[in-house]
Amino acid sequence: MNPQDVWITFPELLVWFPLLAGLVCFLFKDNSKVKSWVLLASILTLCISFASLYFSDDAKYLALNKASYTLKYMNNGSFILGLDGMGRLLTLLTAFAFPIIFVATYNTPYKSAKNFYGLMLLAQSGLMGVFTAMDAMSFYFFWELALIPVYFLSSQWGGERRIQATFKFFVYTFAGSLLMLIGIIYVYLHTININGNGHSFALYAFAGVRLNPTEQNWLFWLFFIAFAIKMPIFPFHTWQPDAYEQAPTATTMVLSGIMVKMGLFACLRWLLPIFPQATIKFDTIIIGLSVIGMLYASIIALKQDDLKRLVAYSSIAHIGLMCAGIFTKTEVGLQGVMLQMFCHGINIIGLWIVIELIERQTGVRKISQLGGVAHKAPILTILLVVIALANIALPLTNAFIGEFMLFNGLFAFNKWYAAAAGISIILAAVYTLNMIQKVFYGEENSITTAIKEIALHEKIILSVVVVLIFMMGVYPQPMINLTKATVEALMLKFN
Amino acid sequence: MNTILLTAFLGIVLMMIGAFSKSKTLPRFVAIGGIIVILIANMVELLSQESFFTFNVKNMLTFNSFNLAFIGVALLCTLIYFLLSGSAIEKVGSYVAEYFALLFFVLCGVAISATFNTLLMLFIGIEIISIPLYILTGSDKRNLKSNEAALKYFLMGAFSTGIMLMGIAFIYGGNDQATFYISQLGFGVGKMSPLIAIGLVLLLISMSFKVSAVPFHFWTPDVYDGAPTVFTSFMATTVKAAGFFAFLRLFDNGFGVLQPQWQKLIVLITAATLVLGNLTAVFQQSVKRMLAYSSIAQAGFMLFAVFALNEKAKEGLILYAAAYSLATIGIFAILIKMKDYTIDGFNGLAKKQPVLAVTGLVFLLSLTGVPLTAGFQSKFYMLMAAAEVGSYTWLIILAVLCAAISAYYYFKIIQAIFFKEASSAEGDLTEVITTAFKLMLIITAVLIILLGVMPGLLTDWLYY
Amino acid sequence: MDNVLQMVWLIPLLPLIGFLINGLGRNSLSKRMSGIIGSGVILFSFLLSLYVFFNVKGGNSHLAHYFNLIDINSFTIGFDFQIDPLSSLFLLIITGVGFLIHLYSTAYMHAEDGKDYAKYFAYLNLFVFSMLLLVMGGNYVILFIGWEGVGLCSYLLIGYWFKNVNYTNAAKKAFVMNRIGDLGFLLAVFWLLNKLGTTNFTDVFANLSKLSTTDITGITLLLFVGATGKSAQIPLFTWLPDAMAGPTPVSALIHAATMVTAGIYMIARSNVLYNLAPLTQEIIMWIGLATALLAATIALKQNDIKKVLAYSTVSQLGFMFLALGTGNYIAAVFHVMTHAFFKALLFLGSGSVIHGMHHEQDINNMGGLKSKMKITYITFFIGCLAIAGIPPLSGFFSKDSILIGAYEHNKIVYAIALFTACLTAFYMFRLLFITFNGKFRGTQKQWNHVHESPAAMTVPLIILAVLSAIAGFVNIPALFGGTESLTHFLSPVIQQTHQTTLSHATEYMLMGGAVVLISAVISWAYFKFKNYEPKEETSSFGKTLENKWYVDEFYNSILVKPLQAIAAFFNTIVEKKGIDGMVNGVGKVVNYGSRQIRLLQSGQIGHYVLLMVLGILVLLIIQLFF
Repeated sequence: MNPQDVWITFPELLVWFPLLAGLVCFLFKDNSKVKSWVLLASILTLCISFASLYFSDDAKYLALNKASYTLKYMNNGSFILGLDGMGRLLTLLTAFAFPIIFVATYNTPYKSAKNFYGLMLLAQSGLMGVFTAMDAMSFYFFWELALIPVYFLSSQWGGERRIQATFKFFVYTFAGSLLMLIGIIYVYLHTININGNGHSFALYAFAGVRLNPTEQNWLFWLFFIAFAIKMPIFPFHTWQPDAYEQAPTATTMVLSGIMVKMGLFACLRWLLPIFPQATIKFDTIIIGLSVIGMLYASIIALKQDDLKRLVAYSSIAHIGLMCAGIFTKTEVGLQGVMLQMFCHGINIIGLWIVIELIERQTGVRKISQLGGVAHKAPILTILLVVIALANIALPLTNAFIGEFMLFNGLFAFNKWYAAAAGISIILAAVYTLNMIQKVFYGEENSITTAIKEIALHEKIILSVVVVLIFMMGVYPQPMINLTKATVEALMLKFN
Repeated sequence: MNTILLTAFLGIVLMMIGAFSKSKTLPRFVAIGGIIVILIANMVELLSQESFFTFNVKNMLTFNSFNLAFIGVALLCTLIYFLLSGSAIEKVGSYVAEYFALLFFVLCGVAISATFNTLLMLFIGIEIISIPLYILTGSDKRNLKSNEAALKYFLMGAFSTGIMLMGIAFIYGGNDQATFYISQLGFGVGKMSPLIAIGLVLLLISMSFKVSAVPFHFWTPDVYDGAPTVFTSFMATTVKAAGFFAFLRLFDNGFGVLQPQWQKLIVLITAATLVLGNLTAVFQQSVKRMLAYSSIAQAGFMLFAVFALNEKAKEGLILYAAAYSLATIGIFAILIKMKDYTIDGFNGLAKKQPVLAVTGLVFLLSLTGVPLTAGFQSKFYMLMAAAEVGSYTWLIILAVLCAAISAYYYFKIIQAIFFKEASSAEGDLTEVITTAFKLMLIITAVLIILLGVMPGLLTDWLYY
Repeated sequence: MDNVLQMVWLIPLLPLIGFLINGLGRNSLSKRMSGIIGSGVILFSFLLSLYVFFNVKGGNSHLAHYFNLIDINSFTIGFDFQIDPLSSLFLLIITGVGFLIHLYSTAYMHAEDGKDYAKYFAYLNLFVFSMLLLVMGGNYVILFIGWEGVGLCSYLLIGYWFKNVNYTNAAKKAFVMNRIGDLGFLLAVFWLLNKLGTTNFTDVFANLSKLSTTDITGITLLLFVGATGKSAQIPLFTWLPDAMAGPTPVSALIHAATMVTAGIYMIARSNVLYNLAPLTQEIIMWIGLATALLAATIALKQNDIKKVLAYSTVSQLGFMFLALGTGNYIAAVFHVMTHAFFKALLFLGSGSVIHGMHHEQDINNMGGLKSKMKITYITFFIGCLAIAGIPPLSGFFSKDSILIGAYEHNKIVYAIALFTACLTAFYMFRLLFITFNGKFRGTQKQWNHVHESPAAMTVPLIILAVLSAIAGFVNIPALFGGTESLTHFLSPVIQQTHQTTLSHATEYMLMGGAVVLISAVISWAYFKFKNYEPKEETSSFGKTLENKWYVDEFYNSILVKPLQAIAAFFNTIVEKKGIDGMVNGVGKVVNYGSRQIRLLQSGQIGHYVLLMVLGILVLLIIQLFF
């Protein structure tokens, strides 16, 4: 069966279904029912995503599966959605993340839950849009639309400093994306439509655009700053720890698990193909920034006492590595990024879940106040240790494969960068083991004596994460095949 | 043509009603009915390209689809304005019918200044717009602020009128055709003569005054703040849009050929307007005053149309007029219902009045220029138009940075509405809200989103 | 034979299964069951290993490819096992000694309650699994997987009693120091991948011609950095003594017999590579020698029975690296084997003592134990003789071949090495005599408790004692009419650069001299310590030794403290004030500007008109004159 025969194709399904499901949420009266509804909806989305892997119109995931209609009155009739290998990978991640999040936070009470879950699904729809957009206009649309629900989720249900923290995050990213908008407009004005007359926002038109070096250089930065803020890489990262700390954990999972991937994804889809020369010109600067960021964030992580901030900084370090991997422009580096985007998403969500469970039971996130959790909740501890080890890329966990490839690419780019970045591996071990030791080992204290072993569904969901970690750590090949074609297509731009 | 005559006629009718009927609500219904009729008439004219009435206007007015489309937008906004705030007009004072009559005269002026083809018509149009507004500003007679505002407005308005007349005189004397017809003005070749230059600058200034561009905006905050809120809403939207439209047509048809020679002035004014408008708005505590500055800030974006003078610019201006007017009228309509005009007055609105909160959100997002709202599309068109010019990229970057700043003050209201708790749990923040009102708000919001997804729905009228 | 080698995958798989059963069933399994499962799987792997061992005799080697770990256009990394004499020998050591230690543990850990007991065996099995991966891996990546895997297990087992903060600290220290080494290893792997596009041993060694000298030196050095971490060499050796926090059988298995020899295995495996890097070899030799000496001196003054053994392990490892550095790979491997036997024996013996003394580890509180712990005493004695290198015990042959190699390479090195060997003998017998001879120095209550350990512990001791006694005969040098069977066995995979050219006479002399010296040292130690009385250390040198040359303090002050300081600085100043300050600064500027500019709006028409006129003038001027 060929998607072209389907009256609506997978990209649209992936975008519209969560959107509608989300809007439905607002109509609910009773907050307990809405949970089951969003769970069901998110699982359906997951099924759709799986189906999109299965019914791909090309075994090699090459084709864009493009049956998207064009809105006549939309700017220049442009509204193109499509799925390539990378798109499938990230939509799959998005589809995966939400059921996990919903199950994990099933026992977390949210006031006016229907709005909460509604917004969550809207965010999912927006993210799906970003990953399936095949023209700059709809890309920009979804890029912003994914932000709005998250902004509301954080400011409404977050911690006490939530309003300032989230607003800073909002304005920061908003400013960045406006710059990108200028970039989009300028590139658009240089494109030639497929039928030779007028301009086009379509990806192929953008990828085929002719720009002289100077134009490339400054347009490159207009785009890159927007992405850099989103990722975020040093020194654009300061919104992140606050935002993560203040947002409700479910939202933090979306933010750190998926949203930060938007930046990386955007680099791969909207930066490298459009500005190859500029990419080559500036790669050293950007990789330099990324490496600095890795070390900087890892060092700062040593000093964090709040679990959320700790994970936030470790995430900055990981993202830095991925960003560096992108700009090595080596096959292995790019493959690494693709794989690692997925793995990092899964792992960090796992970490957040554990933090959420601990915080829900004890009401604290301060490492210094916790201790001896291992006696009270051995299973939780074991699962956490596995996830944490995956976070520091121990062999046979998924992150090892990803980081192995990334470092490889980095090494191919420049030995010394790789060596410097490597130090962050050591630091990662230090702060992660510190966290495990202080929170889980040792004698339990007045706060942690209250802790009970986690509930069944929480065990199950964490086990799912752990199983994924090992599956992809031992046999990542399917994931790699998924994005092979995308990477090859990208590589063409550089040799 | 239809609009000009019918608005004038309706104005007179309303005055009659005012003279003979004591009913407070009748004028509103007449006005709404009238606007609908006029709107239809205007659309008929746009589609059929011919008016019900045939006069020989000696080509002093032109009725092409561009102009008529704009008039359509203006009428539509006014209609929504009546529907949302009509009841508020009745509360201003005892001369309800007269208020409506004056509003119709303003519309008449709008129609003229939208179709003018000679400098005289432009002048007449602008004046017909302005004079009723002076009165409306002072219509809250017992309120000193209102009177002061009216006086300020009048004095400075007179000032700019003078400048405009002078400019017209210079142009008339300076162009080698010695004509008022802007399409026939001849400027010779090369650098323009001092007479023309001075005249042009003076016209530029007087127009900038009307659209409250920096540094000729000083009247705006005081007048908007002092005038009764309903009329502020009207002034800040339809009227301002009309001013821009006249501005654009004057400089497009009249001085388009000289664009390279005066573009830098526009660039200066635009930059100043963007920066000053946005910066000042940040600090305001009163929403009404903040919106006054925001109208200046938005003017900065609309000036891009005059800066670019290309197809995109024209589409953009129409779109911007609609998007900006709808959103502002909407937010003003909500503001009028509020008991407390300060930002804190909005605290916890989401709990008490969900509909107002959500629609208000749409309006504010549109003003900020977030995708999926008309506000985004209009900004996008403007940037596109400016980008096509090719030069002055820094101006565009400045513009988007200012847009980012604008998020700062618009979102202060959003935060108040959604994330802050009301000072007292019980006790309403607003006066009674009728279902009809809510419905209208929703319709407006839907319109905004519709234009946000498919701006073509509007812009295509230009090429009918 | 192939059909045999078809199922080598069972060897690591069995321990993994054991790990899963014990890990998942920890709450349901009885101690007995988990003990049986834990040791049983290892026994089976051992039998398989034996089978394999006899199949690779005569230099068969077998490469088994299972699936691709990573397969992209630029390179492919397969999940491969390589079975050849070298790996099969290690298989035997790991599973064999491993099994004995599992057996021993069933008794030693019996005090633990069921859960933890099962957990313990689960970890132990997991360790064996990783260690087997390490030695069976057919390329550097699989080797690395095992390499980090054993590191993890060592971390878990050192921190086995995780309630105690010092233990978990020790575990952390071990892991982090290993990680430092691992980084070097990884970089080497990347280097290989980037130059050769493969990490398979066979392909790498076949294509060395493609590598420049810099490449080879760099790669070998980085690999060696990895080895220093794993095998506790200078500068990364300080974790091993702390690692004694783990249960004693763990110290025997991981920190004496197997894991710490991974570095030696890896370098022996890469001998072809190292033969091309004389510089690296020189460095390895000197570091090995230095480590051996340093550790030996520290061991002289330690009073914790396990610490002494720990430092002696570091020192012996130093000997092995010395051998590697002199291109004497077989000697190194040989010593690995013998060391595995007698060091495991000694650790288990100490474990038996600790068990008998109810977790007393300070030898100052021991003495005269031989009367109550016959078997332990005798086996321990054998162990000491073996490590000291008294003929004909195993240690003699292995250490001797190392010394000979050193002698031919460089006389000074030989001298230092010999001196170190004497120190070894000295501190080992010091330990022996203080512990078992003289009179008991603990409390009466303790004395009554002291008892010989159960069979499950003594049997392994006896077996290991026998092995440490006879293991030397597998490689009797030619001058004793030996066949050097080990050398022949390994020769297909190892290209010895060092070939003995000495006349037998010299060899006899050297050996004789060594033996005499060592025996002398031993007898001196006997008279010095047979009636030992603990006394406060007075000499500053003695103190320095007691405090391990203050190395930990040194690292603390040059690494840990500064890092903490930098972190604090970044966290408080750079991050909050600097970068975030800048970001917030923008907001502040906007606010400030807003407050200032709004003053223009004075409300006075006069001002307004004035400003407007100014505006008009400016515009006119620009228009007319610019």
